[in-house]
Amino acid sequence: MISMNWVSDYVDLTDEDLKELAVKITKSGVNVEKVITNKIDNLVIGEIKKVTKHPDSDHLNICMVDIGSEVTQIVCGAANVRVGLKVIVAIPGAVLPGNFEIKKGKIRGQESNGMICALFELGLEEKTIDTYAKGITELESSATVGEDPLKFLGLDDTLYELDIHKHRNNDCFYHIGFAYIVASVLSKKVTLPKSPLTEIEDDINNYLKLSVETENCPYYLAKMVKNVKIGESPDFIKKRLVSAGMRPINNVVDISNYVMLEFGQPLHFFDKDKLGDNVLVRMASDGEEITTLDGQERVLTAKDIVITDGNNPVAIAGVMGGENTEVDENTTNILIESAIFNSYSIRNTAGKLNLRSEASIRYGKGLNYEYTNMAIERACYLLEKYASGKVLSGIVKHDKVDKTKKVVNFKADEVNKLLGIKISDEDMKVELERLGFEYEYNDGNFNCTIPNRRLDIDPRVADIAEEIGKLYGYHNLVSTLPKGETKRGMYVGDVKVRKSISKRLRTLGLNEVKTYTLVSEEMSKQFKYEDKENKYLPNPMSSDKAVIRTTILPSLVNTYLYNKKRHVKDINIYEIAKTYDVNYEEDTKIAILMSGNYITNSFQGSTKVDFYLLKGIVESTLDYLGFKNRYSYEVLENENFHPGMSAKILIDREEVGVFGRIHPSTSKDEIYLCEISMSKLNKNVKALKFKEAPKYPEITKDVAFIVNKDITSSEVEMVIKKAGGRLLNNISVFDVYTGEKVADDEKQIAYSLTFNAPDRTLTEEEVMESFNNIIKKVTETVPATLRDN
Amino acid sequence: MVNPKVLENCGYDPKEWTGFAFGFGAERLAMLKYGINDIRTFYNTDLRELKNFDRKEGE
Repeated sequence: MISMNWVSDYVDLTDEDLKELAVKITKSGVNVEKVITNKIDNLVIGEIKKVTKHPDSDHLNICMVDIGSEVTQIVCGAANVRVGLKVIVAIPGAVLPGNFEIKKGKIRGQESNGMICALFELGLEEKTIDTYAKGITELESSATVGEDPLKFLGLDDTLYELDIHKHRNNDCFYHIGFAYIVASVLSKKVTLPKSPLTEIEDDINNYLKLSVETENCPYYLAKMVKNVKIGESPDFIKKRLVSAGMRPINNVVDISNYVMLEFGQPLHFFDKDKLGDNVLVRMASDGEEITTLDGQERVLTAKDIVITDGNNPVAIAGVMGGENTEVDENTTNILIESAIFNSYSIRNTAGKLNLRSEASIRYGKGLNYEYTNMAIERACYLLEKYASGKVLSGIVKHDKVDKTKKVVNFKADEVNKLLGIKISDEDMKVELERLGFEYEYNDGNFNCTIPNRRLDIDPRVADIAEEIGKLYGYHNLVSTLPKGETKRGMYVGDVKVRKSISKRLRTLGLNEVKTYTLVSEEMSKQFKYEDKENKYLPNPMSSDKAVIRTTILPSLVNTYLYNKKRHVKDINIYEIAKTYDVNYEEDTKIAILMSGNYITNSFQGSTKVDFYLLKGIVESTLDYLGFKNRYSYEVLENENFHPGMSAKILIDREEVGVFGRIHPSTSKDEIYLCEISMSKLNKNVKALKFKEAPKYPEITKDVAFIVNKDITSSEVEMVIKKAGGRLLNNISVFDVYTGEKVADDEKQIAYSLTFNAPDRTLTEEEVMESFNNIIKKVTETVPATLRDN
Repeated sequence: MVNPKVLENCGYDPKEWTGFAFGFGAERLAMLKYGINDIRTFYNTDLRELKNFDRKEGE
């Protein structure tokens, strides 16, 4: 939140329309999300010249009010009107909160040409019993008739609520920084505040020894102010802190926050008498403790920077001060710390201790040492002025900052080439001046020095071009399409396969869904039918997106539950997506979930999803891919799949996936699932060839075998196929029976066998020869018993 | 535009090469086109909502 009133201290904003300015600033790359203003037009300061009672009312008064341009009659119901009082007058044309327009009119027959106001009527105060009872707002007698009353009261501020990009430079975090942004947009200059200190002869170096024992603190300044009187802050400081969302506490604390919001440099104040004569900056040791200002005991690690009094911690550097050196109502001598700490370290410490503050954010973005200096002087000056402080001369300093100036040499042409525009050398000079970048110009060559406050700019022409581009306005760059030769667009490799499988599944009546790649730890432990280890995110944003999935199935179950909750009954879905394991191995998987009805008829027998229906869909898809007669199944043992109704799918004897009903302990619902690895489907498939339909009639024979329950039909079919020879064309299971007619550990499978020859009509003898061979081999080898029909 | 330092780090001479990168979420384009307000719609998949898309695109 930026107070434009505050910013106007550093850049001239008179006659600027702040709403228009907000748009210009947004177009230059800093997003002003909201413009918040209290301004109401047609409000003036008035002086009551005469008060007479209203003839037709016991509480109304007729007031003659001097509003500068004239003396006008206003009827007012407040009890505190009196001659000589300076008041806020809303004249006709003013629109008060609630869309209340002030017009000339009559109140109980008496002319009234405006309204005398209370702050709560202007939306500047809450309407309570107390504020209402106070009546109309009474202004100080120093108020000038005819002028803007809100300005007089300092309530006419406009605030910009910024939406700051995470990687943006720190300039939006302090008012001087924002002033530079405004100045560049308006082609104006920034004036920094002056801090005309009166230092006393006593030197701080007599009272403080500083040592810095870590490279994580490249810059440390300290100044001392004595005889400070803790009290209330002046109005302007309180108002500005409030508009920035900070709470005024007392003059000393407020000055520290004020300077931070002004220069972007956080400060820390120590009670000098509690601190002693030594400051030692070092890394903490593992387990070192400190009680912070909020009364909490904290345990530090060797990764945290700590300020000590030579022995014990007195502050967690850049994050929070310690209770032991806290400034309180009795403090008289203050040590001011203005420093730069390693931004990564501060970010880590603040994050780990969950102590992100206005200060730690600013340390975390990086600081300009020039402001570190100006800020400490400013704080001293304000303490002198508003807290009766006496500033000691001298400064205690540790300085290891790299002060190398950032200089870049370039020609206007290089910038033009990058931006695709044409700026002349003269215009380039103007833009650099707008940015506040100093430069030397020599025969087409710019030698430009980048100001320290722009921590985000590297000395390269590309960075300069970016800044120039933003001022020029990215929206002013002409859109053109790139010219060049292009290749014919088409789907390549994997994508083509995925799309064809996707289409096939939709044709089979399934709906495609998309779910998240990141899952919860709980989900990642389900359906582990492959030996794959999950990758856990080191810093997940939420616990239900903490692990990278190796299977899509748990996510499909979630989608099922989402729909079930919303009373959707028939859920037939698929997803094709990449999965990843801890070794960064990627595998595209095809996952299917089916539950409920496959085909719903309103009143006549719907087709319900069951194990064989899903098997049919899987086989239909594999056939489509060209794998007919190449797939087989094996028993699947997995805790999330129903033991009797699940299987591994193999192609050419290699495992490619699994399918089956969900295990009752995973879900009581009848859910059927399938998952196949698309990469494993990348096998050679024979080219499509025409196969002529049988010219000669086929002969079909039925046969039933009784086998042990554990024997699979495919085992039996393999024997049948071999025994049947070339005449056997097709084997079809048309019944599977268990029950009274067979033993408990047996089942009966009935087959329909089709015989056919391409070049002649088969005789009954030829067929029977093959048929009998089949029966012989099956009963002997499997083994099985023939069912008599 | 790709920062020349990035090109350098990847082994390209920024004096010879420049680069640009762009992208936008396919979901967001769909949200604009079809009037979908919540991006999570794509990842929750309420089948009652999906059903509406079982038709040919308008001309």
